[in-house]
Amino acid sequence: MISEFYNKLYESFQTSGSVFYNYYSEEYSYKKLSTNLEKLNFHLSTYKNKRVVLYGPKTFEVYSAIYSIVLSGNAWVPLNLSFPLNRQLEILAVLEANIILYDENLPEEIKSYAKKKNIIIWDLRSLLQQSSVKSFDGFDFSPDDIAYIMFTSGSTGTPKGVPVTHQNYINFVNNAMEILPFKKGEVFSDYHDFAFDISIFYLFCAPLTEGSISPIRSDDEKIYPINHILENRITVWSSVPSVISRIQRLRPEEKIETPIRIMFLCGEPFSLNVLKYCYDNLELEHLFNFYGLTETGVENFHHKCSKDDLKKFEDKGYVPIGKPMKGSDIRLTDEKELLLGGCQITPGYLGGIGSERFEVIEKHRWYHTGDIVELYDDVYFCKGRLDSQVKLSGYRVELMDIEVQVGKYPGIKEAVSFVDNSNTSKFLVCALESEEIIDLKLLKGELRNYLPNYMIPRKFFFVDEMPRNSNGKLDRKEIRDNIWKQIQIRADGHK
Amino acid sequence: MIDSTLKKILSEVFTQSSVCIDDSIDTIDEWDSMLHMELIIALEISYSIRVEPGDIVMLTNVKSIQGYLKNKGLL
Repeated sequence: MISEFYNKLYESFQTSGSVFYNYYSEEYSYKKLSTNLEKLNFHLSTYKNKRVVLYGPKTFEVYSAIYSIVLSGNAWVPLNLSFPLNRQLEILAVLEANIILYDENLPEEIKSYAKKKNIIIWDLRSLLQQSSVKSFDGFDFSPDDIAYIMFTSGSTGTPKGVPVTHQNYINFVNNAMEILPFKKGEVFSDYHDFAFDISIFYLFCAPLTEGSISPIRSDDEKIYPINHILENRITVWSSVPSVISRIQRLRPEEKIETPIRIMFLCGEPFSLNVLKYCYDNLELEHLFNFYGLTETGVENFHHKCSKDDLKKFEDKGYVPIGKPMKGSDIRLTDEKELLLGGCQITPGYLGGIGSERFEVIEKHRWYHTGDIVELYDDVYFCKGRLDSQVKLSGYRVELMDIEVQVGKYPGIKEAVSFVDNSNTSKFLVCALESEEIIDLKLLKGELRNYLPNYMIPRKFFFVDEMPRNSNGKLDRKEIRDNIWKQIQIRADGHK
Repeated sequence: MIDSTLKKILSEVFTQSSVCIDDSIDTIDEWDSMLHMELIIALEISYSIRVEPGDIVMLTNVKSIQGYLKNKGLL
């Protein structure tokens, strides 16, 4: 199954006469991509199963490197460029990387870290300028070899590395190819960062349909992606639903004619309100909701939406996550927590952190998703979380990760963070109990050295003493639902 | 100098009182694609205008927002 998949993929790289990379007037063909793959393979093929960190923006050269790393039998590790340097260094430390391949000015701190740890550093552009090539001689990988490693927020304050095998993600890609009504030559959007595993969807489905990829590279395009969609004639869109709801908020009444045929949404709750907007205002034909986790090989459930859903699931308010896809097994605990099993379950976190989430029950490995699900009308709905993990714009955020970092700041006795979702836009809030006066500007500045922007609380407030229940445990509900609400009411009164 | 109404909008959206004329999406860390949309909505409501898609992506610094509002005769 593995070599068959890669042979097919490689064949499409070599035989497709169409455009692979399309960014306004910038176009690169599959032919050029194939040449780049072989140039990079000249260097990569001397290694096997090495961890190759790729540091760079969404250039054609970086795309070439992703495929070449995976096809050469090494593991691709995307490093999110928007992460603070300290978090990037933490990731490198957890990863124990072997090679860093970069296409942007690599920070001096990363260079000296690499030197200290004997990590090889390659400048992507200079490798591509060389004329030596090496063709790929078969893809005889073990299904359990690591294809890529992604990092997620960890409750201890350290990012968790999730190695994903060839078998894990290929099963998802094969499912997507079967479920989605692709035609030859689709134009795929690339909205999110590579380090968000939705990237696996378009990175592999695009070449398998002889389609092209049109990346969103600047903040301007991210802000209002409609221009990008129209200019680049996007036919397959993939993102978290909140990207669509932002467009909806700005233009709730307007009809926007787009070339999109297929919309692949995932990563957070998909409200019926957004579904209605997709049908009424964007006039979309094929809409899908997917559900899955990095630890379980990208996506495991899917639901093909229909206009009937608006009425059928009115009471729920959300689109269901649907049914498990081929190769994904499910079981529910007494608390209705979803456990996932099957061929997409990844081997476990790097360094064994959080290994308790993987459990062997009756000789099968299961992953505790932490999500509570409910079966209704033959489809599954996600009802919430068992733990303190939240989702913001598709990013998984462990509230504990934030609290650990805030708690390190001098003078702070305790920190409790939560999401305010009382308005249409969700944001992070943090309650502080401190021993001295804290300058919030300085605190935020310090947090930015360790946490990505989406993990920095937008609002902070102080409490004299954190409320606790009779067991002495922090009363998070009281902080969120009473103390914070009262503060907001007082603030509104002063406006 | 930032117009006082505009300053109030910026301060509310970005929850900070020290916004200055040279600030932009590069200098205010909170200013991401999500908050930019909030800012556009706030501008549309406060000044009863409709910001065209081409302008939405241009208004990523305080100077250009102030210039845009001036050109529309709103400041």
